Amino acid sequence: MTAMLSIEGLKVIYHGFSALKGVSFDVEPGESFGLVGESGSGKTTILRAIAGLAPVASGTIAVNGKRLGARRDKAFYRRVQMVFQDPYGSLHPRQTVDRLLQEPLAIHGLGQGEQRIQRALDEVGLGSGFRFRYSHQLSGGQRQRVAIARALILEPTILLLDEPTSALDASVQAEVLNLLEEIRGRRKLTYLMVSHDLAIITHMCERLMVMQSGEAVENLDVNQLAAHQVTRSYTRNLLKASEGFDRRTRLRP
Amino acid sequence: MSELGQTRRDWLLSERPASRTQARLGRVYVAWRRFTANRLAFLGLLIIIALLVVAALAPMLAPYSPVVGDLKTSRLLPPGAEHWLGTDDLGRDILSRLIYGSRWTLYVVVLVAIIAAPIGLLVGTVAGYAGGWTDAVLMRLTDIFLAFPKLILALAFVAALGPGIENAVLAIAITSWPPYARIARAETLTIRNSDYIKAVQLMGASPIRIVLRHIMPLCISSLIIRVTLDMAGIILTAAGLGFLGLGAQPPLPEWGAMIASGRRFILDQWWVAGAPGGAILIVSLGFNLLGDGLRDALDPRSGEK
Amino acid sequence: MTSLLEVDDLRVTFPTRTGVIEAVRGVSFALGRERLGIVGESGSGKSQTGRAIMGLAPPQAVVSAKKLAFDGIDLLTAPATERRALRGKRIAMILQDAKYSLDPVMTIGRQIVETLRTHEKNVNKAEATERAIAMLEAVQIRDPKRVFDLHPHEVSGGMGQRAMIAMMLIAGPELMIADEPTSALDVTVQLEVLSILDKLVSERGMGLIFISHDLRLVSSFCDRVIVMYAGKVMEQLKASELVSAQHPYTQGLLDCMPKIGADRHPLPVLSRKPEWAA
Repeated sequence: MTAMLSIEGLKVIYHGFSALKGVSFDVEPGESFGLVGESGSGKTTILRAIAGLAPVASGTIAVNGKRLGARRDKAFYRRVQMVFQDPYGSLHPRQTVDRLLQEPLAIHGLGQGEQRIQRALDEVGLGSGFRFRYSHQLSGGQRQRVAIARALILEPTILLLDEPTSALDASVQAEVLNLLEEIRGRRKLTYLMVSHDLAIITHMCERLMVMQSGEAVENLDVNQLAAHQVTRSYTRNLLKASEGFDRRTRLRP
Repeated sequence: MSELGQTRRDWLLSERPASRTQARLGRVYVAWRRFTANRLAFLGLLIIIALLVVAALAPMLAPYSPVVGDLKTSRLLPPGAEHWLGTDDLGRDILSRLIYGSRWTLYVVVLVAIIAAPIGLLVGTVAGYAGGWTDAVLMRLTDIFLAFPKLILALAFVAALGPGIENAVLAIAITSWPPYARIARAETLTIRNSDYIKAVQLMGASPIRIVLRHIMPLCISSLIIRVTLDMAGIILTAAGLGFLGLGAQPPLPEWGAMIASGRRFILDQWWVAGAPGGAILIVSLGFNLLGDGLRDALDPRSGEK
Repeated sequence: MTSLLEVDDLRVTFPTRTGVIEAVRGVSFALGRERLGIVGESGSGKSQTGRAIMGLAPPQAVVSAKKLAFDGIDLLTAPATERRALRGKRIAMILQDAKYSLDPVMTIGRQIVETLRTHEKNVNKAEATERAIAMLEAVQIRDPKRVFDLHPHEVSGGMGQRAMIAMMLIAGPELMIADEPTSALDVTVQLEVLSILDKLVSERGMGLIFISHDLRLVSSFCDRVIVMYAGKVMEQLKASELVSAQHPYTQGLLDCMPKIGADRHPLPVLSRKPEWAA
């Protein structure tokens, strides 16, 4: 079975700085794959490279077996879409939700705008009352739902998720994670999800790759991680850190 | 009546607008409320509205002809019952000339705004979004035009095409657009890296579409504010050109030209230059207050409500 | 245990064009030389509570309380000079991101020295520099002399946070208010910074108010926890007893977080009852 998304030896260099130093992994169709790491690990850079927003120095990216070149075409954008981290920055401040959702339809010349928009809003749990609001009239969770609706309105098969809930409150995060899970099940999407939070990745994904300083540290199954069957010390540190503070381990004076 | 007013206000401020127009009107309403809360800004608006009304109704408001004067009996009369602002050296009623002159002031200001602002917006947004060579070339072009002093350029135009208010307008417009380009470019540079622009790029939008439909709308408020604040300067520049005899030609009742011709009598018959000077002062003040008020009302960062 | 801080019915309101916003609506607690965590989501009023205690609420805010006393001193009626003397010397505050809360144009060392000399008038520059470097060492900065001469943007997030802790602790305060001190840091760095805070607070016998949105982190670090929602206190409990929390909001907040090893699909969602905000 061809992988839905295949990355090999990907290197990204920004103005002399090596953000990605040769990373490889595959994502199977319908799978949810997680990229975990701290800041500077390069996990977001991978998403950007796939989306065509990062300068790829070497390596290949293939979607459904087809290698991607330097530029992306419209057909690509109908297959791959992205949800950004900051709900407060990913929606145009001067456009209503309706206008935001119309834009992808207009760019790709898709008809039946009314039904599509209505359906998109229903799918993310926003009623019609939200359709003509501006983004500053929406809460963080609502904005993220609009961002998800916008990503889904072109009916992609792959969704790139860049820490979609890290800017949200805990209770809202749970709702959005549930929504993302439900959508994936219903539409049989493939997810590539980036997070610094191991708990979120273990909840949402089936396999994951731990990254540090632009390199892959370890590839794991989520079950292995949950059972603490990790081989690298960095992964172990991350696991320990996610368990919270241990007052018993005081610093030595 | 108050009940009806209440429901209309509720409709505008509704949390769940049911249509595009309702949402847009709601936003305009909120900005309006914020604007009118500022008394000085409101005063500025009233002054400008008064200017518009006076210009529109000039034939009805002016008691005398602005161009024909009574040379025999009415030369250089001081302000009085017959002539509220006195008469000039050709016996023409100054009030009437002032009223008709408002048309010329508006003519200059509106034309310059219509020519300069779109050019500046286009150059600035394209330069800011494209970056690289395009940015460098466009900005150097902007610098070239910025280097021209308005009056010197007007002189050049006059030498080439002859004096006249149209050429004055052209000269002013050509030297006014660079600051707008700079503002638009600065805004574009900030906006360019935001996630919502990335999101639209990720939909496959062409650069033209992004600049026209996503970036320009965000630059417009800064531009409107700057243009409004510049209007005072434009009026003064036009007046200056008129003063030098390069702008409006006699017998046009343009305020600057009126000051020029009244200069000779400033010591004894101060009203000939003083009245148009006062008019320029009031209108410039009006535009300044309006511009300041608009900036406070339209600042996207202060949020709504 | 004598109370270091007494807060009774604290209220913070903001007048706006369309009415009043009540950010904090009657918060009461007493703090001794212990660690208290204030947990809440955005809009719960937790940050405003901390700022009101510190006297740093925005100028248009109206702060009122039946009692707001630090070591017996009434913070609401004390003159401004007295409150300023308390701030920094006896009550300190650390904020979320050192990049925004440290002066970007001054070196780290200079800021620490300045803080010290502001509160201890008869310390000369040389001694202040020595103490500043000693403080940087105490926060586990390995090369304190080098960091002394760096600017805030030249150091990593974790180091900046440690520098801020150093700056806030150098005058020897008795109460520390930490507003999301580790939220902007990577998770491994968070633990390092927290260990340093843990050590210093214990050594000096300070009182600590730890404000955060992270209920689990706070409960693992503090002795007691206050859970806030819509400006009010939903529940006050001992950190060790968090699992047996009574209030449905606290329970909901605990439940809705994904946990490694606990496989719940879908995650339990918090259903907000309007009577909580009443």
